Amino acid sequence: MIRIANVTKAYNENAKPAVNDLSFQVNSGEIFVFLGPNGAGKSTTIKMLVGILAQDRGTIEVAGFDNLTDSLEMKKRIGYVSDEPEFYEKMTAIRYLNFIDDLFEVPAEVRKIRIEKYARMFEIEDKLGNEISSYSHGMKQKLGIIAALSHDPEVLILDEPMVGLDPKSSFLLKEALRAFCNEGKTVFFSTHVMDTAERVCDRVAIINQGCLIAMGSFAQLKANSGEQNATLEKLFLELTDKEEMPR
Amino acid sequence: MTHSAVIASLVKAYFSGSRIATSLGLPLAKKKRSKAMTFAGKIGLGILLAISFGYMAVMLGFNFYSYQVTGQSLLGTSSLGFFMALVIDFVILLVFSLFSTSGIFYRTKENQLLMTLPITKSDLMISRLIISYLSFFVMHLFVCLPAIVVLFFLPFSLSSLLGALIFLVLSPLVPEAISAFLVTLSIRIGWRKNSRKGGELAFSIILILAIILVYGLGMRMMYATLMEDSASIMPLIELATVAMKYLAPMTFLAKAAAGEMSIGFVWYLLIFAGVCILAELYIRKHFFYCVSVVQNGGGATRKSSHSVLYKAQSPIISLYRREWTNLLSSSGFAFELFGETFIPVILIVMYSAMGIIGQMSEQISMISSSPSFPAIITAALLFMAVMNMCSSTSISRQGKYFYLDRSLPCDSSTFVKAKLLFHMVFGFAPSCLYYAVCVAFFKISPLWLAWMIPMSFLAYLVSGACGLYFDYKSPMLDWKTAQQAVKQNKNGLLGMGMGLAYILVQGAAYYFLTSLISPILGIIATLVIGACSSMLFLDLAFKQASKAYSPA
Repeated sequence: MIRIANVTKAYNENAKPAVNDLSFQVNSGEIFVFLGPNGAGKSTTIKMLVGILAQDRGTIEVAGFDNLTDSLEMKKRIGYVSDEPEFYEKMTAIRYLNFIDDLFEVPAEVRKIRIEKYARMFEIEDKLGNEISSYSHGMKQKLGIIAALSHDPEVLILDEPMVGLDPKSSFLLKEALRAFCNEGKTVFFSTHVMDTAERVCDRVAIINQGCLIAMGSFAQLKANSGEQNATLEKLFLELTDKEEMPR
Repeated sequence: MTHSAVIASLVKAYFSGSRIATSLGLPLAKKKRSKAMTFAGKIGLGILLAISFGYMAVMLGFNFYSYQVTGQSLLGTSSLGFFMALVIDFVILLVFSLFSTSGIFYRTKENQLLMTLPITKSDLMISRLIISYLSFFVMHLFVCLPAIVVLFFLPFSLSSLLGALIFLVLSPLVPEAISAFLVTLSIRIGWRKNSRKGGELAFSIILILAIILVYGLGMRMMYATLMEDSASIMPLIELATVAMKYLAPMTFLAKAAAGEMSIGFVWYLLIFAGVCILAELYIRKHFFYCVSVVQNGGGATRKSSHSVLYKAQSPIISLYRREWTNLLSSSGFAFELFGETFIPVILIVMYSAMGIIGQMSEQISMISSSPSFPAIITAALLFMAVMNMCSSTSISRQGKYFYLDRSLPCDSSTFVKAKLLFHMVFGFAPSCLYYAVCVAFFKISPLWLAWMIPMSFLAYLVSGACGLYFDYKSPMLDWKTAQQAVKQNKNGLLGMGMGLAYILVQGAAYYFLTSLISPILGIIATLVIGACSSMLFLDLAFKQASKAYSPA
């Protein structure tokens, strides 16, 4: 469903690449977690996946569409939740959701069912008529998630979706992501919350300084490290520390 | 750190910090422009700006000089010109700072951080006042310098040097302190809690009235002086006499600057200090409360006032509606753009108030029988059509949200069409009404509308497409206050400049073809030029948008 091949991206010609020769594949029906320390290149990768940034080298395909040559078709199949919940503050939440669904050309009756379902799930159904400026960070995050889910994408790409969510909403999101994948769709998300990653993901990729340093299921990572009782957090720290040591 | 060092750091941080777009690391497009081209562009723009501002400064100076000379001959005082400069400067600074003060003092995002740092209320507040002072200092210089130059026509004295220095350095503090006091008071009494838009609307109306007043005072005197119209000058002098009586502190300073120093000057200094100290005490007392009220979204959770409707619209209409939301999201945007669109109405109100409309209608009745009259009216309204920044700041007004558009599943042409639709509805629709009113008022044959309306349509299309081209090419996305995205945006000037060139080309074609061959040919030529120009600029806008919405 997502295919990244030899992707390199630098913000300036002479700067060190933010993402360096990155390659991996995410399959349908999979929850794929992207881990890495701050500045590792996670958000850059995600911004390339959703069409905000272009890679300097390599190819990216989402749902079979190239991010540079077929970007419109690709975007129609993606639901994206950005790392910072940025919205038009003067819109009401329902207007924002209608706006997004208009662009994805979702019929009124269909969007009604989906928005009501997710708004009820995240407990903001009675606040949809409010201006977004009155929303808290967590509520904005929920709104972003509802907007991404309401057009029923094939691939859901989330950048740090758990930030700002209360424990219940965080739990509900994880349930929603699993249900989404059970329909054969794909979830790709970045997080710093190891516990979430460990419990939710089917596979995980760890990126450091723009390079992929490990990938596989949690069980595979544990087997590779030779520590059967290791937590993902421990593995992550070991891997990223090992990478940084020789530099 | 000393208090002054803390304040200096806070001011520096405000001006050099938080650039949104660059901090996100999202380049708009890979620009491959040579340094020579950039340099030439900057020089060209600099020259254009210098000419425009120089011209306006000369106009202001001429006005102040007219007042000064008239005051000398009719009132026996040389201080009238300087007094008018003080009034105009005060009004402009007060009104413009009313828009920005709440942003600088209370709504700025950095307050969330600053409130947690060990900074005294006083240091924080003084730093905001200095920021406000520096933000408007260039605007102040624009009015102040011509007034000081006009003083050179009077004999030099120590008191005039002192008066000029006080005007130059200290006088902006009074309107800014009053504006900060008014904004603080409005937050304190809860005015802004639930009716911020109402407050902003009130500020907008005050600003329009102030500009009308300032413009009217200036232009009326110039008109009266140029026409040597003593009947027009007398009411103005009477008005100025009353103003000098009631605005005594300004009169005292003006008299000192004109070398007519009196004990009143001490009163000026006392009142000046009193206003600043009282404002400072009041703001200091309520500063943290107001910051917390504003940072918490106005102090009250807004009740759901909108019904939840699930309504599907086409992407173009939805994006068009977003343009309205964006425009109305800030009083800075709304004021600039509504002001431009409703300039004809403002001018009519202003000329009526100044008594010019009666004189104009007499003069117009003499030339309205001329066959060129409909073309003159059309040219005037076309000029207003292209003198707007609706499209040329459209992408800039989106600010940081522009990058998110790249993740939306819309073709770049859909965004352009929505923006053009907004431009046409916002500008062209009212213009049809203006043409209809002109035809009725000036008793022009309604048949002319068959030419005027398409001409207006094409002018708005050219202006819109051209503005979008410039703004897509180099949008100003990292603004901190809404006014920067509009007022300080070079794309607005470029769009208007190109629009002006378009009108000049059309005008020249019409004039030569009408006078040399036939009026019909002139009409056809203007329409053909309009159609060709609109096709050219639409093509440019679509191509540029395609680049801007591509991943960078």
